[in-house]
Amino acid sequence: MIASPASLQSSDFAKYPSQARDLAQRYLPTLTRLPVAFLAVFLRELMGYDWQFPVERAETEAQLHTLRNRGDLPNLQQTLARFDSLPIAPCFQRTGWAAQPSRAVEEMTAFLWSAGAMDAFHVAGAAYGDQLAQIRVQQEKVRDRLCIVIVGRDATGEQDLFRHLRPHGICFENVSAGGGLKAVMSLLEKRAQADPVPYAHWYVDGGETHDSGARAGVNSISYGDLAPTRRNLLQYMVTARSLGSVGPEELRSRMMQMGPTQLGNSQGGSDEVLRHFELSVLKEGAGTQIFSTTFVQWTARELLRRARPDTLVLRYAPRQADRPMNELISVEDGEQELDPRGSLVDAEMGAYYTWINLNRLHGEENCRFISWHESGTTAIAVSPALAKGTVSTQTCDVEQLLHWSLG
Amino acid sequence: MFRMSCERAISRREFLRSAAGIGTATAMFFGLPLRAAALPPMPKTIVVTFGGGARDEETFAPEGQRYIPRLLEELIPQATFYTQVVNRGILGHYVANAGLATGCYETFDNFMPIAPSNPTIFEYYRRDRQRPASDVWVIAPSNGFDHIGESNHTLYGHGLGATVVLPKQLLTLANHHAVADCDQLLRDNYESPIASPLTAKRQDSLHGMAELMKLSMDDFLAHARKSQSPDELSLYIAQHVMQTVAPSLLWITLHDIDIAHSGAFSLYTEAITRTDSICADLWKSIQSNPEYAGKTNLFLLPDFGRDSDMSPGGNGFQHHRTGDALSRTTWLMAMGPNIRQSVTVDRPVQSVDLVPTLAHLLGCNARFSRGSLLTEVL
Repeated sequence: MIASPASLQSSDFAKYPSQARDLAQRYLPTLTRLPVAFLAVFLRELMGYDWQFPVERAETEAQLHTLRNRGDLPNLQQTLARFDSLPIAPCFQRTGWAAQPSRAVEEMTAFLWSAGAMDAFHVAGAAYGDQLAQIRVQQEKVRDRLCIVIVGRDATGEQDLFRHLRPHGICFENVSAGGGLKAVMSLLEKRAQADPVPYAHWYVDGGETHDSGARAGVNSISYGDLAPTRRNLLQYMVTARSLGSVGPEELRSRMMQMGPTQLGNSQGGSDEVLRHFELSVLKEGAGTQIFSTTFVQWTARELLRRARPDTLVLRYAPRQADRPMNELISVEDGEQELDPRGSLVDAEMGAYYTWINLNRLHGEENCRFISWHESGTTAIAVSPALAKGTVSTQTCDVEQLLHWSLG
Repeated sequence: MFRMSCERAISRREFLRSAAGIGTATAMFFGLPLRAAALPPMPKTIVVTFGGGARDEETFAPEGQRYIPRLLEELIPQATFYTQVVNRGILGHYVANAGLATGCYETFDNFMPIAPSNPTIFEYYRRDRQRPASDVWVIAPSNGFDHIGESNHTLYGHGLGATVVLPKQLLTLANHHAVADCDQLLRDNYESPIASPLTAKRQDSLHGMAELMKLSMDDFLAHARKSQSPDELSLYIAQHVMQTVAPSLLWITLHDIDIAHSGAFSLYTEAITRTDSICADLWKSIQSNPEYAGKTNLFLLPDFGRDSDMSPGGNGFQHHRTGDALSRTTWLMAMGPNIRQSVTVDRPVQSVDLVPTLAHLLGCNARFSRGSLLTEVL
């Protein structure tokens, strides 16, 4: 028998965090009318409601409100019908699957791949993404976003740097590095003070946090500061690996269920939202535990997708050199060989991906994006105030670059 | 979604024409004589899967050509090149490679040690041509590929499969009494970080295999110490097997490129360049080995691509999870004495078309395959 959404009960949400549980129970009649493939994905997101960023929480509530009124929205009805036409995964025959939606989604996607229905699932997902974009447009005012990506610490070679980004902005080839970092951090602080919205201004570092004094209104995350949490997570992976009985998917499922307390993550202090976010970066991002460049890129992706910040400053640091997997995940302390040149290549691609993710947000036409090679002389600036696809050889410093970009 | 792959095919074709001065299959059919006229009746065949999912952007697209200099300069001018090879199956490496070997989209759990459910080309060839196991070899770097050589199909299987070598297992065995200084070669897929110990039975079987290919463990270890990656070790084993056993059908699965899952773009592109070199070196080995020179067809193809930078559900090159057009669409290069040189084929083909084509060339019947013949290379 299929445990259809109609058979959902309040008790299915009993183990959800408290606010998520209340919300699910309040909207139970709405949830019971949703296609099961859609519902599983939606519940997985809803389960994290207690630790979502404010914009995410508002969006979750707006989605529930919209889904409740789906009868008045033919486009949404049509989109949900796409999910309804998907084959139903066997996991949904299990009573109580809704208590663990992450597991159900994993089993469902494996089933959809094997049933040749993954493309249809993606088409349905993209159609719902369009609906969600409309919700965002109604919900959010256009933000004046700024993203600065600092790359290439300790790497001097820079031939053809920012090749993916060059068509979209001005490439400055004679940038003086002096005072650059200070200018960026000062601008970050100024913006945070001028518009003190929670979780709207972020600094992410691939090494230790620069100038570790707390900046009012700025949330900071760094690869270095999260070392104890990373170490605990890697220790867990090493143990699972040595057992030889836990497959990669099972390992991922188990890791997803771990909370900040189990992994000793106290970096976010008393800020539960921040602690859970940090942990999600390490648990869900492949490679974030071992390569600082991947950590920065994935953190930026997740911040732009979830927190949708007004100001985002990323600073890449040299990652450890490539080694065998068992050494990479080993938890022994010691001096690590670094790969600054490879890290510059990683960071350059990471900057491009950050620009792509920035452009996925509502109001992208007003976004300002700057990437600067701190151990070199090149920077790229993409802004409505600047030309596209041009190169400037004029001597300038980072402060001037910021000024021109902000128009 | 297939509009994008079509556009990509056009850009590849345009480059190839300008770089090598080559034409389309239709144009060339009327021009060049086939060298197959002088071909012995039963050529040898080598298939190389171009390791662990590679995108157009980092291979044949204009921005990717910097990573594959030897394919472009040495191999492409000698090849028939298919610009659109679509994989409509599950985009997991083991299950996709099994699909390449069976000519059917296999649907088993990618992470389980399961044999393909449809017969492999190895079984078709061995049964129809009554060939011994020593005539068909598979070399695969990852421990997860242990079962790729033989299906559990009721009409085949049962000892009709290929001889499967996993160089990492050989290295583990060789290292048993030696200093463990080749750890860099024991690296497994980032997404499969599970170490499985060698059973006593498997150790016996590995000893037997080493004996069959006359492999000195000391030489093997000495070479391993000089190798930089698991795929370089696979090349060494392949060259050794060609020298000592000279099988008619050799299948090599390269996998270094899958380091992309760690998110480090530099390591991903370095692996592509290494794979480029391995393929070119293999072709040289073919030409310099009297058992293979002038009578071997080589097929190179990635098992699939990786996610597009623009797919919101993915993270670009890092994974192959979205099933978007770019992750499903890739290329195939074929060369050999009975294959036309400097030809591109733009019609879309599927990855399952490889097996019926190999079967045709090897004189066997891939009766359960779902693919169609790649007529341009027959």
